[in-house]
Amino acid sequence: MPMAESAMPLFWKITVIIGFILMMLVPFVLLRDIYPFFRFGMFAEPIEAQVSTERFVILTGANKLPLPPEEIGLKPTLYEYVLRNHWYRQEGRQLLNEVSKIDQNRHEEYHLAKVTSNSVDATRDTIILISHRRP
Amino acid sequence: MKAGRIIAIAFAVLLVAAVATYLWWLRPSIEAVLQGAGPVWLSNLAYGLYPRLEAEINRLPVDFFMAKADQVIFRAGLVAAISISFSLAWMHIGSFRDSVSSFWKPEVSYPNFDGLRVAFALAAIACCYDWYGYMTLYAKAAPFYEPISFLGLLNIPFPHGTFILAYCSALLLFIMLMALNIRPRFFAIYSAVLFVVLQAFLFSFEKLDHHYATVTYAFLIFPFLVSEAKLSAKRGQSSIPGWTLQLIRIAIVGAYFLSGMEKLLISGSQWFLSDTFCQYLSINGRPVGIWLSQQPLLCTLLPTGAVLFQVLFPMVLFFPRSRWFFLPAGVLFHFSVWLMMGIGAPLHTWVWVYFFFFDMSWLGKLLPDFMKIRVACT
Repeated sequence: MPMAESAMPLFWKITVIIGFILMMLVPFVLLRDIYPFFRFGMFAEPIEAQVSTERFVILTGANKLPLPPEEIGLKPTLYEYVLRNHWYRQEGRQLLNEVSKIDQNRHEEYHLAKVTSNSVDATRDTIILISHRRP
Repeated sequence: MKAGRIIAIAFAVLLVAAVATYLWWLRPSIEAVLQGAGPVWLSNLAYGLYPRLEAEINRLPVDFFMAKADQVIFRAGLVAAISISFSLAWMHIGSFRDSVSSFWKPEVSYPNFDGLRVAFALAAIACCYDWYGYMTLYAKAAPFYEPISFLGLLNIPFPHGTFILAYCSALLLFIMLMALNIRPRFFAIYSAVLFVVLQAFLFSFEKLDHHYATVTYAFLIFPFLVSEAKLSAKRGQSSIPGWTLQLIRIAIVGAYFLSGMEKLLISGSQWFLSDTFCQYLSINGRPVGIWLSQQPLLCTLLPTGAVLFQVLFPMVLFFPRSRWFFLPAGVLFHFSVWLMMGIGAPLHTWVWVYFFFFDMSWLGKLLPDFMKIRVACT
């Protein structure tokens, strides 16, 4: 039997190898994902000792009960990102408007809130950032 | 040889010139852009390349982003310097050239290929069997759909109803057909394309996950391995050229190595200090994590061990026996992250592709004949 010989011409083989390795390195160099190539920067950032973490939630109705992420079609992990990014992009009003359209429970009021917790003194604050009333 | 040396020197000069240009002109311009001034084209480029900047600029100080800009230049210089050194070593050191050539020339037996194909199909199905549920859930959140990569470039909307069912069923069917050795080359390509496209839909809601990174890389390269196998079998060759298998191994190893390098380059020695790790543990609020966060010695030893494990993981490529240490350590590493921080899963998806480091002939030999690749007689 003949020995293993590549079906692909050497030039293309080298192009595939170098091209793939370079594409893996591009997200590393540019510090961003270039899908389907990824940057593996999770947990790389240092955290200051006196840190206060923030979380975003949507509260509903006059009693201000938290809206479960599934009600608007999101997993809890995505919910946090969608809320946070909309707020920092100054698109909080559009966010609440869309949420009020998607949510089947048809609450009268929707509030975007930021929950800040401090790991040093274990305190927690909830601040209502924007409110939206169903027209 | 002389021409090669001239090209290498030219690249080195270009590299120095690029770094000097950054320090004298580009860096102050980037700083101006971040403060709301600076050239419009640079502002468009920065916000186009880093869409998250729009959200993060309102949250973090300018210094944070300048440190990131410095990192980009440093990393580009590092990669270029390593590439130039590699090229020079290739041109001038015969033993280095021989080692690199032999690294890319392993041979894969046909039973090993059959075993790898079936194992990969099982890993891929385990990854995407529940995507239909997620896609259906996300369809409800379509107003928050922010298409990434090619989905954004081609302006592809989020699919609905029957399309979701059709895409997800087709992906599972194609993977199964590849495993069953029915037109494996075509179905390896089709399933790779669908895997990447459906995953892109799932990642188009403001967050891109790395859970399937190693499986995705394997998917991108696997069709080349199947092509090599089919053509080798058609020609009646005794084995299959294994350069594609080596490339898959490099992709898996690269994911760990680059994760470790990120920690070293971004945080430096700070990552080894117990404070940083303790904070990560306490934020996630897992009972084991909270207990560990009160043990300063362990909070120094564990992150040090994790970074060493990630940075040294490439040893499995060059010293195959080391896989008996690194691969079980990898399983334990991901399990510990899940236990302490609640991130990932007890058996993380990155682990599901470790079989690429083993001879899977035993599985290939167990398969019924119709699932084995047919080798032509010569």
